[in-house]
Amino acid sequence: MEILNYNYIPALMLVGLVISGISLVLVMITTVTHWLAERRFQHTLAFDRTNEPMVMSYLMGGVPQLAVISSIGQDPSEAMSLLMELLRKLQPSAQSRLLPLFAGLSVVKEEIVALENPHAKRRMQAAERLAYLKNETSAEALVHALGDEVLAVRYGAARSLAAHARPEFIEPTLRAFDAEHHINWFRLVEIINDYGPVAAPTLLAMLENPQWRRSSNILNVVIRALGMLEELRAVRPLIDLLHYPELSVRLNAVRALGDIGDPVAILPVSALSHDSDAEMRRNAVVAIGKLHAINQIPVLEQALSDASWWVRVSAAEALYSLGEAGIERLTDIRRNTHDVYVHDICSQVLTEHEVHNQKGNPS
Amino acid sequence: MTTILQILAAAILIYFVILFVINLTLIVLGSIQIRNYNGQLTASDFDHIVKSRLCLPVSIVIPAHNEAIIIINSVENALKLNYPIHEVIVVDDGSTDNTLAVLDRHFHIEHVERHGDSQIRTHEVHGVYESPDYPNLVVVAKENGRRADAINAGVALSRYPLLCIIDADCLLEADGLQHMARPFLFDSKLAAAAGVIRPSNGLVLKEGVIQKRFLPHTWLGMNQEVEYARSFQWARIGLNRLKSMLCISGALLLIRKSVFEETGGAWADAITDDIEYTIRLNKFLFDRTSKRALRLAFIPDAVSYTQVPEKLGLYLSQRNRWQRGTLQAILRNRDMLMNPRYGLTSMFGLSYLLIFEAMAPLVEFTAFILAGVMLAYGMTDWQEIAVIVFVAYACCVMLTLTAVFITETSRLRTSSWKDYWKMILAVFLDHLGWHQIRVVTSVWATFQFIFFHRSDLGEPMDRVSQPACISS
Repeated sequence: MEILNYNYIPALMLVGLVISGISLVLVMITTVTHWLAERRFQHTLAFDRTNEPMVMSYLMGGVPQLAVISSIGQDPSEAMSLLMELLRKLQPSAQSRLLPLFAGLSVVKEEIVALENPHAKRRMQAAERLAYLKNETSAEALVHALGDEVLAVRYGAARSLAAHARPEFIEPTLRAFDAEHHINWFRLVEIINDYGPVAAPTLLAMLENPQWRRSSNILNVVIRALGMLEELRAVRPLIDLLHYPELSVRLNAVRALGDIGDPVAILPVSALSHDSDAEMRRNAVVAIGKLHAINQIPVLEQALSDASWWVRVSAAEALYSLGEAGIERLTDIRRNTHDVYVHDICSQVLTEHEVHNQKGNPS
Repeated sequence: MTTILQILAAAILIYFVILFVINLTLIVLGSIQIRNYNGQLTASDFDHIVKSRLCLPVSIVIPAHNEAIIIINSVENALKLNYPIHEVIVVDDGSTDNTLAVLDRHFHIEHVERHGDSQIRTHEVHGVYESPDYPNLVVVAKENGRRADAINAGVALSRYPLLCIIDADCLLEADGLQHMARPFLFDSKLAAAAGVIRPSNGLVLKEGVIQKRFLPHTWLGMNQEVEYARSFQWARIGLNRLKSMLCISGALLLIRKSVFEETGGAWADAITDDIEYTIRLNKFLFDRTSKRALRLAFIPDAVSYTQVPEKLGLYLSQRNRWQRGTLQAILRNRDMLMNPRYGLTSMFGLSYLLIFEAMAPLVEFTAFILAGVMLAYGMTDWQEIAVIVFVAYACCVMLTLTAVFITETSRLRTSSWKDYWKMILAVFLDHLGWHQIRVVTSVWATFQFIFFHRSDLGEPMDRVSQPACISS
């Protein structure tokens, strides 16, 4: 008797040998993979060691532009990676000096063609690189790439188009993401913000356009982007949006009004500190702080006893951000209140700031 | 009698064939997932996160109990993470080794009033401290509970919508938080994300920042390096594809605070709170009746390095605790077993955890005994046993080698040829002794859990700053 029939033993042995053979092949493949990765790493290291000092010297006026381009141009792919890495590390003032080096690599055509590459990774890489190359001839291909099936390619194209800072690309960009319901819209807000102040007229027009008002996602992006751009002309339409039926739009309008900081918004924002939604009340008190509305101290005082901890702490922080008057009021309230929750929240904000302010840290 | 033994032997063989097939499937699924993930990465994504003004801020919660030796490195590492807005909340869970004093000496913390909005009850908090030098550091001193209780206390005082829960001995790459948070920027339905765990023994640090990555110096450490690679390079990611990742290590979890609170936080009496919490989290996320449509992600290039025991006694104690913790977690959530309400998570995931992870050591141990009995009764011979053992060994080596291959294609690849060959050798040695020790330990732990209801946390880890983490 046996566990398996003895007839199966040779077959089982064969299975074991085959699996062992596969393992040996795996070891060989893994070794080759390690060797290739190591070789690539050493190549990049050598390229960077040679060229990084040269680029840095160029930035300080030591080496002529042509000499740098000729050196880094020997491996355009490595050169792109190196320049992109340096661009991230450098101060904005020095970044513009790197742009002629990107242009000198003459890879724009290649990257435009790559936007149609069957491999999504290559399309993403091309969309990403074109943002650094900032070449006008790539714009049309990038607008086309906004229709790519892969979301990451669309993001890359949108970012590259933002680098061109041409407001006519804003609408196609937003349209390309309109159907996506699960994405985090903050990314898109920041892409639109990358256009800078030139985006404001287009965004304002979109805010007034009933067609765009139908999509709350797009509307939210437009609202937050206008807030980040601190666009004063947006204040009136944003105040109107405080009565919009959808909560997310109202919340973003309050946030944007706080970011813009126009005192005209103080009263409409302040009225929302009594809203039935805690998140709205919280955002309203935060905005009051940002608007530096000293005349709204009583509203913030009232919010210190709100049922929601988040509203209470935001109100105390807002009071503190008002400066001397607010801090004085917080201190008085802490001293005189009989409400333990109000006392706790005042103490919390005051002691935290005391500790942080010791070394002049931003609170 | 002989018929029973033969049926048992056949059942065990079938069991291991099924396990092997499942593992092969997980490798395929895991590889596809990793390929898809890598295909969507661009350098500018991370550049964008670093510069973002609207990114999701993160509260890093670090529970610490008697971690004085390593806590400074860990906290410095967390503070120096390259992420736009994050706070580090260290919860000293009633340490008796001056952990709080060590933190005070280094970070000059001062008492502040700080409260939170969380409704999760915890042991009493004695005090909250902040540092004038590090505005994003919060230290909480509380009465000793367990790790879960400390996490809950930290969460209660956190301010940000994302929570990153790590252990006190964990070290992250400088861009680790960016990698963890990136999927949350793409997907508003993502509830939580888990990352890869690797041993930190062998890392070279400078002021809490990882400078070089070498492998552990001892064979016990290397054995765990191999084990972690196998577990994280394809098993977890493959299981996640099947909505069945029921064990997210406590060494790295990023979760929305709202979800953490809705699930009631970590269970303070758990032997391994991370396993128990993960099962409950899955139950919450994939409950078909709730229609939440939330998701769980595994991030294959976000790494948390954790100290692994290099002394046999501590290693066995840790494995004993893990086994008891797994059984306790399954038992506590037994209503989920084979319950169609939770879909694949229950029908496959929890069953897999019970049958092929918690019970695997018992089946393997039974196989050893059975082989002995059958030999004694003359029902088999050494030749047949040797062939079966050889095939089992070849299967295990092949599965582990795929993990090493996946590692080598990622940014976690070994940093030198010496480490590479050490890793390959460790793959072949892992199943020649270490694995069997783990099996026996797990069987003993199961026995203790079932018959003695043992629920303590076992021997505490023996932390070392040298040579496991060399501060250069």
